[in-house]
Amino acid sequence: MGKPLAIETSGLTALFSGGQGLKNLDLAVERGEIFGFLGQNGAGKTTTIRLLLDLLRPDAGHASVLGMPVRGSGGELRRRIGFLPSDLALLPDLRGAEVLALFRGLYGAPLGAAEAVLERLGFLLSALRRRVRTYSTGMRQMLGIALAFQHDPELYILDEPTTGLDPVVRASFLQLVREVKSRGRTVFLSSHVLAEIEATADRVGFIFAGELKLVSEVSELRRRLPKRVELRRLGRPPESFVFEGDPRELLRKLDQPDLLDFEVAPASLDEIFRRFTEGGASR
Amino acid sequence: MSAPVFRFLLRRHAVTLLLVGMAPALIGAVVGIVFPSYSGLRDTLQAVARPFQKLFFGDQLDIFSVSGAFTLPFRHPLSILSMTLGGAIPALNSLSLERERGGLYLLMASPITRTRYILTMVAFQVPVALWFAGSTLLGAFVGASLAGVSHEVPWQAYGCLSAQTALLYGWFAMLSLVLCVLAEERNVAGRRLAILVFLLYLAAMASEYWKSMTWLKWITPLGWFDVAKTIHQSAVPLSSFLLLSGSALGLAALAIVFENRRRFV
Repeated sequence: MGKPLAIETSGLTALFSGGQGLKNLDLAVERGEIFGFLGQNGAGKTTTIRLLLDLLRPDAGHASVLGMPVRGSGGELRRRIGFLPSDLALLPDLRGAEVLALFRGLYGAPLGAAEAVLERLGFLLSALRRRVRTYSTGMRQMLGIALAFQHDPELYILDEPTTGLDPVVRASFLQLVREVKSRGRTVFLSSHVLAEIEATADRVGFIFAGELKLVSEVSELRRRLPKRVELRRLGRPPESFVFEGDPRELLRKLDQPDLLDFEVAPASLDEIFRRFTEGGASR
Repeated sequence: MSAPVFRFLLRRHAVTLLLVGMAPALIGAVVGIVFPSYSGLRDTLQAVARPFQKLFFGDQLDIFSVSGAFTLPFRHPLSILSMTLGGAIPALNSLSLERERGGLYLLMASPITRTRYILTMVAFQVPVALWFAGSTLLGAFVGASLAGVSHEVPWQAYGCLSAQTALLYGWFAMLSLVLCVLAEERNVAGRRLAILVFLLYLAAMASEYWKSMTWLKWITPLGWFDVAKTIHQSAVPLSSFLLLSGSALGLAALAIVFENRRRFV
């Protein structure tokens, strides 16, 4: 018998005008793992999250989260989830401290828990006296992270969580994510930044045009992931190509007498998706 | 009901609603200041301003008499406007505007359900309705005291008017709630509300002005709030109570149903 599931969907579909949306999503996220959910903007990541939180009603299919059906479980289920939306819109007329008080009350979180998270992220607590509308994007994002983490939920649903964060705060945030995983919590991390998912996730799912194209272990993905190789050779203009396969094969390709310099980087999401879609999706 | 959301609504709207709710009290005070001078000219004013009185206040109750003049805080167009505005502010800002800018999305992703959020908004309007009712009564009292005729005012009947003011305020607040649940944007909800209130006011005026249109009073809450009948009976007319409270509750129920039927928060 496999591990219990934190998220399970079958045939989950939500279509919008123009045929866009989410199509027939079958997904299983195990408890205790960090699941990276990768896709370009408009691929269906946020739609999936909205469906998982019952913020959007599906056209077809079924979803259950933490063993409870999403539809009809009301607030009880959401109390067990920490959520950070991608387009975070905190109540701008309130002061930071008032926003924390409101959500502490709604989630029944312990006093001072959100402030502790904010301190970890390097947020100046004196800024909580200011109205949220005066905050920078990064400060708002940190406040959103604190709201999602303050009640130590069983499941974290984080949609593009590092938007607007500087590298230092981003590192602190990723450390927080690893810590909650070490306590057995589940993290569903949606992003279009491949490196971020690679650095934290156990498994990753690729969504493209509303369809889940691939679910893979990150270690397996690293092996399979196409790489963008840029070369400079003597007397030739710079060249670049996308490479996928055995790394030793790449080394053999690079071993040329006129090679001056080379750089290997993960391929862009665009290139990866093109590979997956052209080369046939595997699940 | 959710206590944190109730506190949020209170923090956000208390000052505005306190100020808007002052309008009836101010109207009462103004009436009190001018009443001694115009009561001496009652006959002339009645003759000159009769069509005006008939249009805005009906001809059942003489607004130049002591018992009629101090009913103005309850039914002056500015009082009605303040009630409409007061009832609409929480729904327009904490529902429509937050839906528009995404704050509602974050709130609804928390443990609160759509039903509880709407119920909290309904509950929040109860003390505000009492504040508006109190303000109208305070306006009448301040006015009558300033004019030195407070002993002549039928306070029991005025208490009944005040109770109906609370119901009328509640009716407008629930209408705003329904419109805000249905609209995607605050401006759209606001525009629809303004048009509807204007039509309801027109219907009330027409029912008072033309005998053949008396039936119109049954389609507008301003017609159900029968000031003259209340003064004569010194009690809240049962029909007024049932129509105002029943339809306000019906509107609240509709708001819950429509919000739950929305596909997206």
